[in-house]
Amino acid sequence: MSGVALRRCLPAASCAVAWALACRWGWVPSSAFAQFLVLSLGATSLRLLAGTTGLFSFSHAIHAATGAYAVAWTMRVLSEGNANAYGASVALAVMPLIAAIVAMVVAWPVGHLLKTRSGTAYAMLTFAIGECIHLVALAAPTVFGGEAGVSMDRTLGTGADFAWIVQCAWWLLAMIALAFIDKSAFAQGLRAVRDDALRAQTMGIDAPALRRRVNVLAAGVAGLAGALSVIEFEIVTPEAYAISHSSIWLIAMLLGGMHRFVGPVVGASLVLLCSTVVAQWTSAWPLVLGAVFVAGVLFRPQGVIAPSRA
Amino acid sequence: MEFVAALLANTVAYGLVLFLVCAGLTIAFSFMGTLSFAHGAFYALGAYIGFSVAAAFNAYGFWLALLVSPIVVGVLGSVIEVSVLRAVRPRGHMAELLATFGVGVVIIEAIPFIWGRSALPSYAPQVLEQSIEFGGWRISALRAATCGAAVLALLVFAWIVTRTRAGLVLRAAQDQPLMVECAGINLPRWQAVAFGVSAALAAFGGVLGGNLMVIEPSMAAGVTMLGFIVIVTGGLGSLRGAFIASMLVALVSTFAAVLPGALLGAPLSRWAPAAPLLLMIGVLLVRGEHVVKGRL
Repeated sequence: MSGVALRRCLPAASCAVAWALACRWGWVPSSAFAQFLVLSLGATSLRLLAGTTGLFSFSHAIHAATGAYAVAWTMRVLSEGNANAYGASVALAVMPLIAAIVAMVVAWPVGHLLKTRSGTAYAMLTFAIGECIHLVALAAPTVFGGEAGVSMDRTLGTGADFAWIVQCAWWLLAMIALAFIDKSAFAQGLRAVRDDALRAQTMGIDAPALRRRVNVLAAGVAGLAGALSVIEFEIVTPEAYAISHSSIWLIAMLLGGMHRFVGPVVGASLVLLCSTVVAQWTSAWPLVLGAVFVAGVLFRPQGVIAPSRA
Repeated sequence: MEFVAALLANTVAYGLVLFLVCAGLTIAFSFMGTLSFAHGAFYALGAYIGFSVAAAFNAYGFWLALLVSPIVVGVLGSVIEVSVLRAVRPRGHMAELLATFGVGVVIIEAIPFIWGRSALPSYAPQVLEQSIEFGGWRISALRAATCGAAVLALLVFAWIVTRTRAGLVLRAAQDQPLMVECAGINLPRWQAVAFGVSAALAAFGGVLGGNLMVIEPSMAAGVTMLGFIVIVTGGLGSLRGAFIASMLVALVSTFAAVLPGALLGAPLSRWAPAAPLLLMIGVLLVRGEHVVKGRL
């Protein structure tokens, strides 16, 4: 079984290698690789919510912002001490873990609010809660840094830069973990809850508890994605809480298709092709992306990577 | 007192504009079960098309915009219903919601491409820039005209719903869609008309609201959000509830924006947009899955 899970990561990993090479050869801007890692991980964690459990979150990317802030603040606190190159790289290496934990802790109470909701009510609730948290981030400059945001130095001033190794390693680890989860009994329970919550509960599955757990778990992975982003750009602003980021994640997941594990990764690649390659020709690339999305909803409702059998 | 009167005039004008959009959302929901994410975009598109109309016909521009813009957007709405939503409808409400979301993205992203990214000036005529005496209070003529136009549009709409054949079909299809089709009525065609009317109402609100507040691409996102808050708080499918909720949201937003005091180091007015959101979260948590289905 472990072999199956690992094999399912291979197409995703090949996408990542393709993006790394495209950046190396200068076909796309050099930050596109990190953007791919963030978007693909975010969209895959959203697949766990929307695809596996049927919970369409319209504000999943807020957890990435929370994770990013956790990393930025931790690194700022650490940078006040005397760091050597070794300590700095170890610190950077554990940052994504801290981001995931913080995002999960923050998501816990939200998960409690959402555990008995599904379908449209869930979608609207996440929309409203996300916008609320966005407002809080905009209104409280002491924590979220106002419009300038919170910046950090990923090398803690030592010049030892292992950023891309840390990013790749955590991305791969998270993807493998998600692939395992996708094959687990836990995910089977989630699918049962998605298909018919009442029937699942009759069979002894605690649907609210499963929904709460998957909310928190997906938030953790999203937080990890946020850490990868802040490690690349070394800054995070309240704008990271905006609904538009969650929309992009949702579009990436739906475009690629949520039935197969690699779907959201392919979707993330398509979205990034729009925002990097198409953006070089025209500033109206969001228009192109929107049109592609509508075409996808109309003609490929299952996504680009459709399920192997109906 | 003068200040409170001005705020109240603001509230009523803003609330009526909001209700125009929400009346559109309510028709779309009660007639075909579509929760539309595109109405904020229709609202913005209405304001922008109005701007182009006003630029072409100087003197009567604003009044002509009130007529032309809803018609153009209404036709666009019908086209979208026929070409996109109809194909998606058999796949359930979530697919429809996502399709309207995609259509909204396309429209919102097309707007800066055509009209530019920066805010456009108001095109309300000179006449409306004065203020008028009303029972001893001075009220801006623009607000009074906005209220008048909105009430007029809503009266026409109410007349259609309660007194015409279209309204009869609409109300019948709400309860018994299958029976309506058995009676020989082409329901899909009426659905296209209904979605067009609902888009036109949003566009009418856009022409009024754009001149009242600001005409910029981000005006769509704010209205999408508030529209949802209103129809969820008022009870999905209920026009009366939507009206009460529109006024409530307008009241809360207008008065919270001028509150003195501070919270967590930020002035209280910066927290004002959170008030309607909290209202909606509360309603969703208490009533949950049962927020649906009132009467038109």
